[in-house]
Amino acid sequence: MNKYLSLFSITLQEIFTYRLNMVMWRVRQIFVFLIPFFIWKSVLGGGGEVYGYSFSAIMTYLFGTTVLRSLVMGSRTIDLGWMINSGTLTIPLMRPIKIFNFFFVRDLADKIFNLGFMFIELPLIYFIFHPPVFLQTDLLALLLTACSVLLAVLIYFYINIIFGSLAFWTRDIWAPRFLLMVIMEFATGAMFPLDMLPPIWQKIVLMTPFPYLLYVPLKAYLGTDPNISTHLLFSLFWVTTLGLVASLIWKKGLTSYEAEGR
Amino acid sequence: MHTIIAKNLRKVYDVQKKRPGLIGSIRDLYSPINEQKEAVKDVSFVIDEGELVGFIGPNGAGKTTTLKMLSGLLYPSGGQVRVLEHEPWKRDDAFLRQISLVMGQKNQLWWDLPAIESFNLARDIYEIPSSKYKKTLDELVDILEIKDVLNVQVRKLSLGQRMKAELVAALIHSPKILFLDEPTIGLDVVMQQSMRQFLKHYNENNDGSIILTSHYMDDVKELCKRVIIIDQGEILYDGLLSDVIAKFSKHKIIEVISATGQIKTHKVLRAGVAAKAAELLKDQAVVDINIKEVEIEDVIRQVFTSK
Repeated sequence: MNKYLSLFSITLQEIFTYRLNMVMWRVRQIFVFLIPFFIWKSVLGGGGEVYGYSFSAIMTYLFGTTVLRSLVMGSRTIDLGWMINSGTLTIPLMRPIKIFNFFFVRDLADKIFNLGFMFIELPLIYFIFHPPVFLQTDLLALLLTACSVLLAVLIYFYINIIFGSLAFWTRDIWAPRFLLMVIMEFATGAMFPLDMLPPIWQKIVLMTPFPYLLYVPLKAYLGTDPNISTHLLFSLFWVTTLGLVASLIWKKGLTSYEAEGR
Repeated sequence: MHTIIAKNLRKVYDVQKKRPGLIGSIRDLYSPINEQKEAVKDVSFVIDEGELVGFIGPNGAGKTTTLKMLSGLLYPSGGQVRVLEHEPWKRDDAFLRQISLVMGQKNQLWWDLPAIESFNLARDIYEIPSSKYKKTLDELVDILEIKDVLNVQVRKLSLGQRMKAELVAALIHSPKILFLDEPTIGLDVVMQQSMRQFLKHYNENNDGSIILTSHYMDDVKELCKRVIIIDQGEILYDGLLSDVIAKFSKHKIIEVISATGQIKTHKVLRAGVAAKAAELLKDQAVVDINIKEVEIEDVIRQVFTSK
């Protein structure tokens, strides 16, 4: 256990070393909220509804995705591709530590760091923009949200392992990563609630792992998902499937690892 | 007991070749040229406990690839390898706890943090008891004289200081085998000497084996009794360093010192040394002669060029 605590601590120390990076990343997080805020304000600021969402309902949703994004999508595993290409992966590979645990603990450190800053940023956003905030008090809804977030964290972790592992076979890892980022902005429901989509598109998107990262956990929190138990089962399915695929790809990839120099 | 057994070890890399020029780059987009490069071909040897063995060879000879396969970093394309009775590429915890790998051209410490943080992390990862950790750390830091820089970010250390810190991190868990890939590369002469002295001292005072690759002959001359000479992925020689000269050099050097203090050298075939020396001594102007072996660097160069 000590080794993981030590790794957790050293990862946080590493993040704190880059002060400017740290500040700019936080500024980025605020912009991530502000951009859709102003878009929706121009659409719905004058009143009315779009697809059943009023301005205040959509703001609650966006405020929620901003918080969830920090928690679910805070990650150090995102560096995996670079680590393989630069040979830095050699460092953890040569230590007696389970490699997935190594990356997961580093992810957790990143999430805790994000969460810590959220406590400063959220009140700031709240006092400046007054988005309506819905505080869930139903214990069952909170429990389902916790389960959904935990599964979302694992889904995102395995997606990153799979995409990072591409570097075992190709140096071109940036384009797939960008493509993934673009798809995720849309398909996770980060920019708008997915139930705004036509039913057929909703069905299609819900068959991918992406909505289970933000949309499903947030709907669980808001208590507005009539199919929450099915969606949680889907989350579990994706964790298992992606976990299995990640392990297979990883094992296969390691046989191609060349530990190149920097 | 053999700690390392390598039998018909082989490693093939996939290499993508680039055609020259812009047109070539465009053609590479739709029909890339993929080739296979055999970095290590059919290499076999055994290494025993406590040995300090040097792998020598020119760049691209296959030294580092062999070392990476022995340490479990690379998956062999063929052959068998067993290190401390483990298959290295499986990287079992029990295996990783007993070995260490230091690569001269790569940093393995946490770049943005002081070296002490990497050592403390190693303590927790290898589950070293605090008292043992403190004792080993104090000893290593003392011998390598890096006490003053323990709290300096690794990125701000000089190359020599960084290499010393790398050695501390590699030895903190008292490994049974230390793999060193070009440990003195890029260091100045004084620092190279200091590293060699440390490694010699460490090998004399510990049971573990050290496997070293280098293309600096001085490293090998000072540290290794046994050498494995490797070129183009094949072993050219495996044996005592002292036997290399006798095996590969057909010549000896005769130094002739004249009354004026001038020194002339003659490279003579071994069989003809006595006759040539007698002939040279007949000259009245000669006051002394020395018969020497050819420099080992020259012999090794000859080994590589004659292949």
